[in-house]
Amino acid sequence: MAGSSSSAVAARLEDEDERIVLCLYISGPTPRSARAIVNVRQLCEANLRGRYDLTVVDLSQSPALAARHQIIAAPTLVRERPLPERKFIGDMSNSGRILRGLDVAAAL
Amino acid sequence: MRGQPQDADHARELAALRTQLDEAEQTLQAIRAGEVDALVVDDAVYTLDSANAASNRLRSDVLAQMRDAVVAVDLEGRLIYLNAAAESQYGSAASAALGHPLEQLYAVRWRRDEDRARAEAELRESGSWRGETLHVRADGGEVHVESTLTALRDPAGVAIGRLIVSRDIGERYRAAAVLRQTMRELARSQREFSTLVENSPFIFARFDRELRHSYVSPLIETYTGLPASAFLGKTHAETGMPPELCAEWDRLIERVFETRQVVETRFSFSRPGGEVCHFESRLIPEIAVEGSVGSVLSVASDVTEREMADSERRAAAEALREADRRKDVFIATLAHELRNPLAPIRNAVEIMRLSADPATQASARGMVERQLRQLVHLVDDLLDVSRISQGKLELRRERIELATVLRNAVETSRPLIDAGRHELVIEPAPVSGIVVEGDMTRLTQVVANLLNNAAKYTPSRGRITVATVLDGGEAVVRVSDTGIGIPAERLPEVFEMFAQVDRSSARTQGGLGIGLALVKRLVEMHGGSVQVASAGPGQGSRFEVRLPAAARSAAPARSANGFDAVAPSGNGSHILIADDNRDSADSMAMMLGLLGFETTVVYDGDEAIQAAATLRPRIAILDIGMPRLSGNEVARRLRAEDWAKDMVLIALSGWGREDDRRKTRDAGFDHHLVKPLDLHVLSALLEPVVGGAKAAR
Repeated sequence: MAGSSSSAVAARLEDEDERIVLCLYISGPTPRSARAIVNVRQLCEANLRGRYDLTVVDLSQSPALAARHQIIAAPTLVRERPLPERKFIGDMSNSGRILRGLDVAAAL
Repeated sequence: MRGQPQDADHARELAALRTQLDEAEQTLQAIRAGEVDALVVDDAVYTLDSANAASNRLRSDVLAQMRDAVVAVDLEGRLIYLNAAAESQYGSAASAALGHPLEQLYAVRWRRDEDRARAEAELRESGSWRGETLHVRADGGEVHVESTLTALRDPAGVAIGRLIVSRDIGERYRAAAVLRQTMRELARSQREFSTLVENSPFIFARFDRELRHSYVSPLIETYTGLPASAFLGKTHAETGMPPELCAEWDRLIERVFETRQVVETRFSFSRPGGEVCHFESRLIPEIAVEGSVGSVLSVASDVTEREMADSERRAAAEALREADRRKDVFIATLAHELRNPLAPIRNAVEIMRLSADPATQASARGMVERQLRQLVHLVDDLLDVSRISQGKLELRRERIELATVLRNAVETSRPLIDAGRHELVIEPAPVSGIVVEGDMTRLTQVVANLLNNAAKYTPSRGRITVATVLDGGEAVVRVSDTGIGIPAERLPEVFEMFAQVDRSSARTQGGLGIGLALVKRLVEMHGGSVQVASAGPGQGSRFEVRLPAAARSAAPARSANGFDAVAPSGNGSHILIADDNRDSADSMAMMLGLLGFETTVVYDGDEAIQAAATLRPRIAILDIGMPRLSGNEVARRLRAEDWAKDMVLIALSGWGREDDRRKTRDAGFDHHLVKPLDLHVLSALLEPVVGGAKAAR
């Protein structure tokens, strides 16, 4: 963050860093997966609009992807960034707990 | 914190460990609470809901691999599932779309406003709906789809949303649109074709391989009484066409199928009313896509009118030929008829020259007189026919006694009746007499012709009966004979000109076949009618003339017959005779000499003028057609001389037309006489002159 010449680039990188990257693991079109998807999207749109990237991974179609985040159950939401990684399990209906866990309140 | 990095790192490590513990704890809790539905162990996913595991798994595999776009939404319409096909169809990754409202992926445009409400209702009632809609993607792209909407339920049967499977039918839709357009074009061109065909005077018909009608123009109904639809799918035989015509048509159509060549044919066909129509038809091979003859088109035109015109023309030509043939026959007969009396005349002249016996001379003279009368009669008839057909014959009507007509006619026909040694029976007329308004000469001609006819067509020693009666307001003359009669089929043509077509009979009996035609025309000119009856060949004939009878009045009807013997009355008056026909001139001179005239004969116009100047005759009879100076010219020159002012000039001509008479009158003639000269007429003309001359003396 020192050189003014590279401050714009740094700021953008910082911006990139500030984006919240999420990955939701589900296991096929089950009611619980559906609830998890809807709940996560609602939560993100309400609180992180424009600042998050969500990837939905269907383990029933691609089980190998589970290894990347050492997933042991689905649905699981992983906060990839900011580090450290955080994981939430279930249908994501407890939005308050997840929001706290995502630790994004400060960022708002 | 920067001042104590080690502490800070330490604290961070602790927090992370705590978090990991928390997460492990939460995981366990979640699994225990049944909030997860799958566990992952060593890259294998174990679905926990065992009851639905298999079917869920199957379903998810199926959905994932379907080529139709599959999306699922929850009850609020948020996306909870997209398969790969949906991602590409709507241009949006599942991760970016899931959890968002469906509208973010695409907007539905319903074909019809009521479709949406109907879809919702069907979904509620039956749990599914299927139909075509237009999906408008986020980027504005349009996808024509056929969609199936199905209600999604959890294992307990509670509705949780809906599944939408949409197939891109753009290709089909466009094809359908093209098809619709094509159909419209086709319908339009078919309409145009129909307009063309149905307003054409031609009858179109199309035949398939089995020789069945696959098309027939509506016009067929006017000819057959059957609508075009009654022909479709039927062979000719099945339409009830006459068998010979069926066979002919089937043979021709087969030939077109085989040879691929156009065939032309003509045929006739009877309408239900019986009227016969004639057609010309072209049979045209219609080549199918694969190159063979797929069907045969027949284009038939009604040529009935042309055919009729042709046959009328043929009939007219035939009539002309017939008229021409009759004319030839007539001329041949005429030559024969004119030559016929000449032989006996020549013989009689020879006899008179060779024999001085008064009885023989008288007999020969009688022969010449009869034949001459016959000749004159013949020529008169010919001239009259010609005058009537040119409308130039005029009747000189007066009140006349029918009995007089009859007497004159018998007089005329007597030689022929006597020649046939026939018995003439005249039935007594009413005492009061019958009077008609007519031309004495013509009516005499009518009755004489009927008598001549009877005499000619009755074998020797037959009987001819004449009766005159008053029937209602009509004067009736009946002439019956015991002759050869007339076949029934020939009765209608008896009065036609030159009707005497039986040449052999004409030869033996003589006659031109104009006598009866003349009778009919003269009678009709008098406002009457003539009819013929015959019981058949050998049964004799009966002719009946009916004329309007005139009311009786005080005015006397002419009854003088004018056939008194000519008495010598010349009294020595001088007559100059000029004619280049020396026999004609000399014989007249002889005749007038016998009557008591003094005559001078010259043989041309110049001599006539010289003789007239020298001799100053009281009367001059001049032939018109003389060489060098015609009779007319002679008359003009004589009239120019003072001494000839009072000379009686009489023209003698073969021509008696009004035009000829006018010319002689203009030239200065007092009288116009037609050859052959009738002594009675001449005598009547000369009498006052001679009388006057006598008085002058």
